[in-house]
Order: sequence, then C-alpha cells, then structure tokens
Amino acid sequence: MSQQPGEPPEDQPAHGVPPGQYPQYPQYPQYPQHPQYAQYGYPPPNPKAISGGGVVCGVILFPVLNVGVGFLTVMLADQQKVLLAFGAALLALLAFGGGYALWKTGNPGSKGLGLGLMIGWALTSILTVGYCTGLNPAMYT
Amino acid sequence: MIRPLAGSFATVIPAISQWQIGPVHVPVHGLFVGLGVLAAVLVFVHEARRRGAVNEQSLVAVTGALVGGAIGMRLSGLTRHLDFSANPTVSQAWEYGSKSILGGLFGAYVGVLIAKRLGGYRGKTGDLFAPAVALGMAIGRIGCLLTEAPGRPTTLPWGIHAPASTPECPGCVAGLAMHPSFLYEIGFQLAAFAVLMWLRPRITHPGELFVIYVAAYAVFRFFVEFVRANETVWLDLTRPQWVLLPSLALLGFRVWRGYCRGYYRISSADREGDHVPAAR
Repeated sequence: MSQQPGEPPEDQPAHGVPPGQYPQYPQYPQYPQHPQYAQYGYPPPNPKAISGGGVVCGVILFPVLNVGVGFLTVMLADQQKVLLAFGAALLALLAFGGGYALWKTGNPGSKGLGLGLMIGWALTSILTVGYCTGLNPAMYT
Repeated sequence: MIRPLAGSFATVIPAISQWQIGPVHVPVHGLFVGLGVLAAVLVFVHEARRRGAVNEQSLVAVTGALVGGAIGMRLSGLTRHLDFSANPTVSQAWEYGSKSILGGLFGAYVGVLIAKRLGGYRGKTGDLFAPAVALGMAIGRIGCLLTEAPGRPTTLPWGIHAPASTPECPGCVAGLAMHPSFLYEIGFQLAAFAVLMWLRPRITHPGELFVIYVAAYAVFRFFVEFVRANETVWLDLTRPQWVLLPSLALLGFRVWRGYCRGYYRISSADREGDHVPAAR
C-alpha cells in the first residue's frame, strides 16, 4: 500500500482519466426556436438587451439638441414669450416622445438612445435649475 | 468658507448664490445639487455592478427616478395649502415650483413605478437607490447650507450666523445665531450612507434597504423641522411636517409588517460572510 509522492490516492482516478463511475453531465436543453431565425438554429435574440453606449450617446445628444432649440427659440421669440413655451414643449417632446419611440423599437442601440434622451432631459432640468429646458419661470418674465 | 464671528464662538456662513470662476458665474445651489446627482449616479452604478444588476430594468428605474424627481420637485407647490382653493394651479406650480426635496423624492418614487410599469418590469430596484440617494443628498444639502436660511434662532454654542441678505430669513436680519439645520441633515445622510453600506450584505430581502432608509429619513426630517426656518402653518408644525405625519403612519406600518415577517432578521451566515444579494 505504498504511495509515491505526487500520485493520487488509490480510491481516486489519476489526472486525465475520466471518472467512469460519475454520472454523465446532462445535455443542454434545446433552445426554443425563434420563428424568425428558426432555419438557422440560433437562440432567440435577447429582448432585454440594451446598449450602454446608446444611453451615453442619448445623455450627450440631448444637451446638444437643447442648445440648438434654445438658441433658435430665443432668437425667434424676441418679445413673444409663447414661443419660449413652445420651445420648452418641443424639447420635452423630443426627449419623451422621441425617447419613448426609440425605447420601444427593440434594437439595443435605439433603446439605449431613447432612455438616454430622457435621462438627458432630466439631468439638464435639474442641473440648470430648469433654465435650459424652459421650466424656470425666469424664462417667461 | 465658514469663518468664526469675532467675539463669539458662532460662525458666519456667507450666503452666496453664485461663485465666479473666471468669466463664468456658477450657481452654488445648482452646483452642489449637480455634484449630488453625480455622486448618486456613481454609487448606483457601483451598487448595480456589485449586485449584477446592470441591465435595462435598472436603467429604466434610473430614468423614471430622474424624470419623476425633476417634475415632482416643481409640482410639490400644488399641496401648499390645506385650503385647496388657495393652492396654485398645475401650470402655476409648474412654472413657480418650490424645488422641494420631499416633492422630488415622492416624484422619483412615482416615476420609478410608472417607468417600470411602462417597461413591463416587476423586480425591486429600491436597494440600488438607497445608499445612492443618501450620499447624493448629503452633498446636495451643502448647497442649501451655503445659500438658504440655516434654521431657527438658538443659544446653543454651535449656532451659526448668516448675512442679512439671505432670503426669507428673519433671524439673519436680526443678527441672531441659528441652528445649522442643514449640517444636521448632512450628518444624518452620511451616517445613513454608512449604515446602509453596513446593512446591505445583512438585510437581503429585496427592497427593504430602501424602506428602512425612507422611514429613517421621514422620522429625522419630521424632528429636524422643529429647528428649520420653514414657516409654521398650523399647531406650530411646518408644511413638510404635515405631509410627513400620514407618511410616517404608513411607513411605520410597513416597517412593522416587515419586522413581523422577519425581513430584518440578520442570520449568522450573513454576519460572517460578504454575501452579495442579487437585485431582482
């Protein structure tokens, strides 16, 4: 019963030898076939996937849109305050209307961009105390 | 920033609405609110990564919280008076919103619920928000400390003075020492952040960290209002206190129910290990 150093015990299989007495690992269950991709045998696309890069792009894109719309409305508005309110409504529509539509497309990049636009509106509103998104009453006075 | 007042132990906080950095005028309150939001986002992302919850549901929840918070803090003026005819209309509240923290928190909570409903999500996300909100509010309140009326007059040695130009501050005009109520709140939020970080591997029932934080803040806020400079409207209580009274009853019931169901029981395994509860 002598055992050389480095060798496995007698009741254990040596390295590289498959343990025959162990039960076989169960086979992976078949993925349910997606009707659109059934002929390829691929798993269905993950409907919950979202692009983090898209979110960042949306957060950056909104302030850019905000600057454009803001300057345009201020230049056109002059003394007509109703145009400033229109600009604020347009920005909200871009963020929430456009953002929601993109979010519901199902494409990971578009979904991220849509959520990013909404986050951009909220951050811009909070950080500029509502000046840039037209929420601040000073815009109307 | 905060300098001792000559001849007394009291300190003077200069109420400056803007800092000038080169040619740029930076609004002090907005700057610290922005830094608070940034800190909260960083803590949220860190917590989401730790719990393996960097996914669409978390992003949807963040979006709902930010949008709801931005809207809620403006619309909180709708409940300014018990006599509803004296309250502003929705459009007036929207234009002249009071930027209330309580309104922002309530709006954020409702925003998360709506966003998750729109996205078809049912998982709990509050535990990701709890430490993030605590740290963000601690930083945001620095802006309040530097720009708003600090509190009610006091003879305590740590009372502070603020310039007479501070808006809505009779104690400032009279030159009285006042409670540094925002410092009290900053201390509470930092302590809450530390306690939540300690509790997060120990209380594993989804959503309960957020419940504990909101309940603790509601209790703290109710009592700190007694030294805040807010106007009292009835029975020597301020508007936030009247809003908080029914909220405290609801939260008390919720915490009691959670306690009875064993949500706050700390198991020995949780005490010893660094167990990471997954966000659902």
